[in-house]
Formats: sequence, structure tokens, C-alpha cells
Amino acid sequence: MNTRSLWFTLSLAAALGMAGCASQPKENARVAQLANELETLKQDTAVQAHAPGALLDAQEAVERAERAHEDGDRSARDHQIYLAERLLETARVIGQRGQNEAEVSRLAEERDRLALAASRSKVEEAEARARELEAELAALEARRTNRGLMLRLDDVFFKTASASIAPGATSTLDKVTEVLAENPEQRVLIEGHTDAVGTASYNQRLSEQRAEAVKGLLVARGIDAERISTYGYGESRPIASNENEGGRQLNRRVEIVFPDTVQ
Amino acid sequence: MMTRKILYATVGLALALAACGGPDVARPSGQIDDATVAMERARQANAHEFAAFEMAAAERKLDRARNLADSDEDDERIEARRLAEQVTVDARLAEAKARLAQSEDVKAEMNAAVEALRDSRGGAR
Repeated sequence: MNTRSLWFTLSLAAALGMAGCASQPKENARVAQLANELETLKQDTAVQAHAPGALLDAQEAVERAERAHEDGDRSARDHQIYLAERLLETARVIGQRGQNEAEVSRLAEERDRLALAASRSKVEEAEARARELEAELAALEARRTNRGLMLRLDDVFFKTASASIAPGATSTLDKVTEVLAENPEQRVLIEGHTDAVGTASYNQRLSEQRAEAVKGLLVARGIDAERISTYGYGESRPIASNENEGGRQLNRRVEIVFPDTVQ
Repeated sequence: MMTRKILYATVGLALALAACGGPDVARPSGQIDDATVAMERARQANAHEFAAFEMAAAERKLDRARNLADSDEDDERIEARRLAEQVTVDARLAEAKARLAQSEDVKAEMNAAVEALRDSRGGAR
């Protein structure tokens, strides 16, 4: 083989090799589709915000697929198309997740806001109930004490040494029943007192029985016994003189305390 | 001189072939490592639960890539590299899908919590 023919052969081979590189293949549908999808993702605000790195990886993969196609290397092209398709999908999915997470933090804020409003409205409701109760009981001349509102049952009368309630007008007790029915959370403390006739221990027992008698009336009117406590003070807390019947009548009494329910 | 021309032509041919993208036939160790790491990340994101089929397919591909990586045949080492690269993107997609599914669950829970609060407030008023 002479050198001239060798030179010719090599030149021809080189020319063919170049031709292999330089040939312009017609557009490939899948590669074109990848480029379209890439453009769509670039416009996607969720992808822009949450998946910029994944978008860049996808873009590089699409460019490699385009180059492999231009080089006419089919198996390399198909390989790069595979990679690009998945990287595009990954960017899209990461963008969606980012959008979900943004939505979750927005919802969390709303949940906290609603929970706060709900607890506030509960406190407001309790305060409003307390004001209403106070207004209703004020009409009955209830007095505010450090234990809550205190109401003297001025139409419940007892005879000396008796715990039975004399029949008669019960408008104060009617009103108390009504208030308790309207305020089902409200509890009451019923306190009995006596005059100074008789021994202290006898009067102690008697005062407890008087409180119990009033409790019985409220329960008979439909108030849950669980909401009512009773206590007897005996003759220890007179509000008038025990020297005359008028004073003793005042001392034989029952008082109802409405403890404050709002903390 | 003829010999000089031969030299130029030979160099030219070599360059031409290189420009076409001569196949990289080294053992694809880096690609297999990348694929292994990506699979591990996907597993930690519970991708087996959310993208079971994709994960199983990727596992098989990675096994095959490892088997072909030490082959004497250039073609098989190229195949090993491509399989490893595919496993990496498969794993990244499976991981992303798993995390998306989890974020959907969290969003649904949060939506339900907000709805419940809205309902209770509506009922109270």
C-alpha cells in the first residue's frame, strides 16, 4: 500500500466522520416536547418558588437530550430523554409540594386565629352571663360580697324552733328558680341562720335544716340538687337584735350566695 | 512530505471522532454511588410506601448496573453508567412523589382542623 492511497483513505474517513457530526437531523418529536414542557415549568410560579434547583437540573438534561439528538446518537438521545422526562416531573412535583407546604402554613395560621377567637368568645360569653345574672339579681336587691352575689330570701319566714317554711308569697324564690334555670352553669350556696333562742348546738342543727328546706323547694321546682350546697351558721351571725321579736324574725333567715363563676 | 500529511490526517481523524463524543468507558463508580445515595434518600422519605412500583424497578436497575459495571465490554459499562444515571433520577422522582403525598395528607388534616373550628364557631353564634 503506497503512502498516497493511505493518506486518501484516512482523509476520506475523517471527512465521513465529520459528516456524521455535522449532519442536521430533523426535529425529534419527543425532544421538542421536552423543550415545551421545560418552558411550561419555567412559567410555573410554584416551580419557580420551590424547585429552582430541580428546574435547573431538568433544563440541563433537556439540553443534553437536544445535543445527543443533534449528534445523531440515538441511544444517547433516548437515554437523555429518559433522564430529562423524570427530572422535569421531579421539578413539577417538588413545586407542588412546596405549594402544599405554603398552604399548610397558611392554614395553620388560620387555625390558630380561629382557636384564639373561639377561646376569646368563650370568655366573653361567660362575662356576659355574669353581667346578666348580676342585673337579674340586682332587681332582687342582691348584694355583692367577696364570695359573689348574696340574696336574702325576704319572703321565706320561719317560726322559732322550726325549719318548715311558712306558706305565703314566694316571688323571690320564684325569681331565683328562674335565674338558675336560665344559667345552668351557675351553682348556689344556701346558708341557714337562727335567732338566739335555744342552745347553740340546737340552733346549729336548726340552721342546717332551714337551708335544706330551701334547697328542697328549689329541687322541687326542677333545679338539679348537684348545683346546690347548704351550710348552717346557727345563731353566730345575727343581722338584728335578738332582744325583741322583730329582730329575732329577721335573724331567722336563709341567704343564697351565687359564687362568681368567671375566673 | 507524505509522512507529515499522514500525521496531520491521523490527528484530524482522532479529533473528529473525539468531537462526535467518544464513549466514556471507565467503570461508572461515581454514577453508581450517586444512584445508591439517591435510593437511600428515597427510602428515608418512605418512597417504598408511596411509589412502591418505581422503587422496586429502580432497585432492579441498580443491581443490574452493579453487575455490568465491571464488565470487560465497553458497551456493558456504558449500559451500567446509563442504568445508574436512570436510577438516580428514578429515585429523586420517587422521593419527590412520596414527599408530595405526605404534604397532601398534612394539608387535608389541617383543612379538617380549620373546618371544625369554623363549624364550632358557626354553631355557637
